[in-house]
Amino acid sequence: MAKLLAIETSSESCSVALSLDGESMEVHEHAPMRHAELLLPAVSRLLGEAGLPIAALDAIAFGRGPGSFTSLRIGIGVVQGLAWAADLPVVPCSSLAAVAQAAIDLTGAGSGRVCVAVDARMQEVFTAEFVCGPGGLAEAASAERVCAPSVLAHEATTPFVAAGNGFERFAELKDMAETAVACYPDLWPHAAVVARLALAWLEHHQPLPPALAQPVYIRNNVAVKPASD
Amino acid sequence: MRVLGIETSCDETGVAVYDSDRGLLAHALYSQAHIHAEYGGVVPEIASRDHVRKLLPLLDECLAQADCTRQDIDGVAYTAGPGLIGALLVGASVGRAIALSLGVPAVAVHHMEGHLLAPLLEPDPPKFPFVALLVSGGHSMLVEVSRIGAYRVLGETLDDAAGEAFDKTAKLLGLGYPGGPVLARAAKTGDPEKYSFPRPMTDRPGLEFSFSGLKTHTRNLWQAHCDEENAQADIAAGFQQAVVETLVIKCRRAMQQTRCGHLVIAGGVGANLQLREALSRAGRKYGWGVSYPRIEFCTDNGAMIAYAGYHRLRTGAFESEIIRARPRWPLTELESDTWTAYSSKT
Repeated sequence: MAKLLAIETSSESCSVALSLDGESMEVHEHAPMRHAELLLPAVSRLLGEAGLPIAALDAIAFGRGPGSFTSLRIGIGVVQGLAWAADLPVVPCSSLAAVAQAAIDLTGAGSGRVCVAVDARMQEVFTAEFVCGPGGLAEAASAERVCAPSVLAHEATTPFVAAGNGFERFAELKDMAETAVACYPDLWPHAAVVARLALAWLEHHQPLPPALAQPVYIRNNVAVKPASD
Repeated sequence: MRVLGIETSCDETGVAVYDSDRGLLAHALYSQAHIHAEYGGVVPEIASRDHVRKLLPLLDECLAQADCTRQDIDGVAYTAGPGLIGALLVGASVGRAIALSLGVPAVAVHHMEGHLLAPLLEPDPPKFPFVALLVSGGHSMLVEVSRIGAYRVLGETLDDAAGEAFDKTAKLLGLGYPGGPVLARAAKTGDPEKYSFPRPMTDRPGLEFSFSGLKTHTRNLWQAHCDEENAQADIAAGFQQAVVETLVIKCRRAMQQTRCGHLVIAGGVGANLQLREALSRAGRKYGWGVSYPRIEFCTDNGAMIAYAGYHRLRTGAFESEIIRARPRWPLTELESDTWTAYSSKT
């Protein structure tokens, strides 16, 4: 698995990367609400610059969330369409892991656990903990969940690195970040990082068929059923 | 030319393959109605989530039925609006990416144009010009269709769409969702003359509709009479008859005004049998031809999108790599048959 296209649209950034034999090129733009406009031109540009037809790829990696539902679905819709038409498999990657990985890259292996908290709107954050595993890669150390910032703030105990915009958007988490070894509230999930984590994932897993390119929402109670009479 | 069509504007995932030489090769549909029924109406986020789950399996099914491969596709058409933005974006993202991946043109289709052209998929298609009565959960309008791509809106609803009025009335009477079929079923055992209902906007000239007053009238009736025997069925029957007669009166006016010889009924409410029978009777009486798409093409479907998309592609239309979805997209902004006119308004 040497040639990967990676797409990450779970955040306010629209990020696309092409990873060819370990070397990656990336188009990354912080552009809230503009994923539909920017995504496919970025894919075309990267493939065009590399002179590579889509069919020459080995797989398409994608940030599967959690994150903003609409932008996530634009990215995953594109992954589905590209992969289905070119008969390519897909590789999922946690968008929170991509943020943790960026923090690990900055702090180095000995920094202990990384707590990621990303604004989930509705006064909540998507959160999970990661540790630095073999090869300096982020490894999940907890389940991913959505909770109120105050709930997460009360859990802070051992030394940790804080990562994700939740640590600047909520007062409780700003306070929590004061006790952190380091705090990186401005790290976004990058497609090049998704590609790296996807390559590692592929060492132990088979890639998936295109229809299994699906978002992980975490927040699943999106509507209330009317009470029956 | 072989065109793949994708429809995801509301709560139905529809796909189809249309071949310009051989006609419709296959179509597949997945309806989410049973899921939304538990909520008493379409929940946009749930609709979007279901589209992204169901679209690729449906595409596989449809291509297998059409006995063709992805490489046989010469163009991709997807509904770009009007509709639910999140739901539209799923079909637009997948459809536009498929076209990019295959290296074929893509085209963004107006959902209403799909409905207007759906009758042309039938073996005995109506001749131009014709008048189309487009009645669904989201729309009620009369449109003069002088040829493919040339549409003149003669009148629209000023408030609720006809299908919406059915849904709200069915909910009020405790009949469930979707309102069209459940209300029609209840009406079968009812006496439409038991209570009196207005025929909104028929006492003045013009081709506009309004159904919210009828809905309020029905609510008042229900509150006053819900304890009476058979009130649910009688009110359902009276309401249905009022809607049907109102639509018939407006259609007759539209036919007189345009001097067209043919009326086409499209949209989900077009599946209502009482409406079909009443319009057929009117057609016989006044000498117009009346045609309907088959019931499965009255409601949302991929076939009409593949077909409308084929005609757009044929005239050279194509979509840039920008994925575009327009929740509101007046039919009046869909002009002529050149893509420049199509896209300059967006």
